[in-house]
Amino acid sequence: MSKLFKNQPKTLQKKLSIRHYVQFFFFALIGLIAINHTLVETGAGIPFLSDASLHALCPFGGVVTLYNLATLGTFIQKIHMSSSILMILIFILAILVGPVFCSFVCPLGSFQEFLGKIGKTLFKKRYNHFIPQKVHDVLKYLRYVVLILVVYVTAKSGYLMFADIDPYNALFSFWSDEVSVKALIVLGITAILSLFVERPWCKYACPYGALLGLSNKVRIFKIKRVEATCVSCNKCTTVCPMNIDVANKTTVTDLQCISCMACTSEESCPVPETVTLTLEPLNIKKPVSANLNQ
Amino acid sequence: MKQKTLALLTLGIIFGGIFLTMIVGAWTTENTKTPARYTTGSAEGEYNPEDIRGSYTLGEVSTLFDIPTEVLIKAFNLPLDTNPDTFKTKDLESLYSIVAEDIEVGNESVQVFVALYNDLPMVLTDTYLPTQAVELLLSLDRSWSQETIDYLNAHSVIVTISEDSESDKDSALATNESKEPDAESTETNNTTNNSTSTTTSTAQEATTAPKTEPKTEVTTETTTEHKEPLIKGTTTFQQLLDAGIEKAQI
Repeated sequence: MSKLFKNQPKTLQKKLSIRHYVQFFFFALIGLIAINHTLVETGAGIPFLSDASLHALCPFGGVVTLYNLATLGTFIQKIHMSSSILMILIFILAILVGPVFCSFVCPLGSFQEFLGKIGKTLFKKRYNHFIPQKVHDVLKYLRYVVLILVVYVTAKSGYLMFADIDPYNALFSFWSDEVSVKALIVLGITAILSLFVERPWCKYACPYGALLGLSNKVRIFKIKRVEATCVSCNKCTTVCPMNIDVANKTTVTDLQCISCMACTSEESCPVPETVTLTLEPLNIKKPVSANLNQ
Repeated sequence: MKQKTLALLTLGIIFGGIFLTMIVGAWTTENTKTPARYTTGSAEGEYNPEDIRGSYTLGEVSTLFDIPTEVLIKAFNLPLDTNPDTFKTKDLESLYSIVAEDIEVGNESVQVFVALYNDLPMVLTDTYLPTQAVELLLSLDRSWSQETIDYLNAHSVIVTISEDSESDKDSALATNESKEPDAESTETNNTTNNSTSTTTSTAQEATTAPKTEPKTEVTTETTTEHKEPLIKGTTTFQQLLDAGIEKAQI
């Protein structure tokens, strides 16, 4: 076992980036709030810490309750105003810098990423490359099917039916009798797959990730690659957890991008200021003078 | 933009947004205990029992739907000293042992009971009610449709406080000091319930109905009788013997 850790790849030896600290922070925060929620129900509780339910702190709850909010003026069961507020804040962030929620905040994403470190140690370069690119290119749209299904079913039923298979819910309430066996199974499968594929839930099943992914088409700050200085080392493509071929793009608009910054010159690109998160210049066409004269 | 800036922007927008909405009083992580109202039909404007949440206490249900707490306590076979201000409808789920797989008495049972008690429209699915609730509903001065009666009889279960929940009973039931024995619940708790049946019923939501007629119409689509019958108030000893239960067990 000790040999395993001695031979760990550079990815594990690397100094933790600020993104990892933010991930740890949110993971610990949500975990403590979930524990506090249970403690409060038993009469105890951690002082000065929120005891909100997991659903109240999930921005996707704000999305699935939109139909009920618009038609009945109420939230679906277990969802509250906080979910809608978080949904708006995350949308603002997504419009500015993309699905940064997935890479910096989401505890389920962090959980998969932490497990992925073990997968990288075990499988080295083969890790995250078990699924052929062609299969991946089809499977990545599966989460849009999940998104449509979840929003439709929730709107029709008025219940948070997705909660029964929600691995995020299971992750922070596995000790509670409120968690369903199905959710625990989904979490278990996600955990096992994380040893082979980076962020399997995010890539192929997460409905919220699917929705936030759309922001990659319109976000203000985008991941850009400067062709003039690029040395075509392919490092940016290799390190991308979402299997995006960054090396062959000048601007990353792929729906799968989670703005993790792994491909940037700050993290892996060997040439400074070559792959960066930069402001997308507004593409305003000059009015045709003839039209003005009309 | 550097990663540090991105991290600060993320934290700033999330916590800044939460802080601002807290200041204006918009940030709430609990429901306001005000159910949705019917927007159409004869009950337009009235509170919709389908929006009763598991976090509602019996006292809140009583106030919102104008049903005496004593009625709710009796219907759900709770000890008479149950404190309606602390007992939540979701507590029923952990309080009662499940009589069979996929059958439980909980928040949805309260929703159905309130709808039927107050003669409010509701789509009835496969929600089970304690026998006490069914008997109470059928004893109301109401001309129930045969379909509703069939539904109630098919979805009546004998509930007993589970042994697991006995230890937690004190926390689940914030009780008063006096502890009078509940004759009815004692009788029910002593009843052996070895069997059940499942009945799938789908109800059509009623739109209009005369005041004396219940607004809930029930259409039974399929009825699947399993080998193990459901013991109901009307079940005879002979039926139990026929079902293979021995005299000693009875």
